[in-house]
Amino acid sequence: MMTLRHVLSVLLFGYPVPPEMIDPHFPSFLQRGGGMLLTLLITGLSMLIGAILGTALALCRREKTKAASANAFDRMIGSALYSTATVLVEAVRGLPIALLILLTFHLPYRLFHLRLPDSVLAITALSFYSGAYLSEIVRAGFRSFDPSLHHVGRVLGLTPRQVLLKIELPIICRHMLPDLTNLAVTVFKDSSTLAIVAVPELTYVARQMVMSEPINYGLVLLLVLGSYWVLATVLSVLTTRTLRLLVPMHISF
Amino acid sequence: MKTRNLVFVLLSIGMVLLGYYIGKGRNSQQIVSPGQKSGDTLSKIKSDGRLIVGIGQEAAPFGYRENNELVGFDVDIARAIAGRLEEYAGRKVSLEFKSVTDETRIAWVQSGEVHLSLCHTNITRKRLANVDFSVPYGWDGKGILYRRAEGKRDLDWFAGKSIGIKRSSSSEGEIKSYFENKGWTLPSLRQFDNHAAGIRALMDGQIDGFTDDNSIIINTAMLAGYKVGLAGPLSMTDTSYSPTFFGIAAPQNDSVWRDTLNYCLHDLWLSGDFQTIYDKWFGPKSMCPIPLKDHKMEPFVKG
Repeated sequence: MMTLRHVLSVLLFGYPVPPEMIDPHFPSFLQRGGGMLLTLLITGLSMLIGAILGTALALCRREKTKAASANAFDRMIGSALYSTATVLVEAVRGLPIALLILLTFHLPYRLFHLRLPDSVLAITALSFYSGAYLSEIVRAGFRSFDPSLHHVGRVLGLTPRQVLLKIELPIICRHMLPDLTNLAVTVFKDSSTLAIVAVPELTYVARQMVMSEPINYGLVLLLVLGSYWVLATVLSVLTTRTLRLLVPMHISF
Repeated sequence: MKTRNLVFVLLSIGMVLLGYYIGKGRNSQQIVSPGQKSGDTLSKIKSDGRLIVGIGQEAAPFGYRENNELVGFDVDIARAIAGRLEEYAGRKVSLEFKSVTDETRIAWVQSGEVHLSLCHTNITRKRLANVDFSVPYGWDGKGILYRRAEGKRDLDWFAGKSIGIKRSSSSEGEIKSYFENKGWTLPSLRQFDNHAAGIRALMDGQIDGFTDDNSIIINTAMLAGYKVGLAGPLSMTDTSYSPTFFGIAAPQNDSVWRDTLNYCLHDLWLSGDFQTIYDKWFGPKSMCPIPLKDHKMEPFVKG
């Protein structure tokens, strides 16, 4: 009565979400799914948001930000940005992921009386998490950038912004590839911590399954382990491939 | 450089203040949660028509999956209460579920994130320090599940043995105080993430017994395919070391809201809807029958 196909489909797509759990104010594709699909959705979106956040934080924390300008006001803004970014990054990096998730699920309502769907909160928590780590990776990337290339760009008539977007970021992107892949896999696996706040991702669905269906506890654990392992491997290969496609190949030295 | 240090100091002070602001509500007796006066859950529902219920999804027969659908005693009670509530709120009430776990079911009621929590929560004095409870809407006891093949056991046999318990359940304190009062050697307690894991460990021989609310254990074991009782590999002790009263957790110091929940339960009892729902999950045909005649809800007199 309990087929392997049923088990796999539940692990992949999750259990159907009862209508009372769907908040009509938010997009339903974020709230209907579950299982591995939701794990992937959360990982993908939080890596994407984390990439933007992380790059912004890294730019705030560049050595240049705080010393470059001759204008005293600009220098002050630069220092403020530097400090804020540093405090944010260090705060998030110093928190265990379980605590970060509990805080993210608690604070929006506590402070602003804001009710958000579980998946939105999950993506927020993991975005901060990946953003903080990503900013360190991007910072290391900036450090690895040969400053003479910057002068070359300037001499060729590019503005500082063009140098950043057209030369610096594409080159360091390639340097950061292994670290980025690593982070994507870490976020993917750490998303299992979301089970403590009942986000219906893979681990939580497995927990629900062993409590509701005549299935061997060990078998479920084995299947979940297998799914994480296979997906993590696929993810690491895919991330490398896609990023290689995105980053222009002709820039090399 | 100096500006940077200044900003650092300011940000740190800001974080400490933020922490103070968040923590403040918890220590003060008067403040239920920031920005709220006590006793306004019902008026909030009256104004926006949303009833947010924290629902557990990991314990049969209270909230679990059957043919993929979320079913259970708590789920049915939540839907029935939302129906009754319309009379007291004087408007249409839309029921919204927020999934809670055993770790968050009390905390989110405290913070106001959910208006009530239906997650097979036992009424204990420790929990009453943080939230209020409705009148009991479910009754059970706590015995110890053991391997039947090794002979009949009673509670005293478990002195000094190893017993599995469910994490974040109230059974830990209860079993300790029961054994202490009897003057028996305390059993060594091992915590498990969920009931299924504990029952599996019991079958494997890692532990000598597993305990929590009888109905949850028996239902979980039966669903996992292990019969409990004469026909199966597992059995439950005849006596229980602690009675159990299940209550609806509601925010602290909100008497209007707690009264309303009690009235809803009483209305359901008087109309017979409660008995119908109860019979579905604890009646003679259920996996763990608990006869309603042994327990009774005493509705307050109307008028």
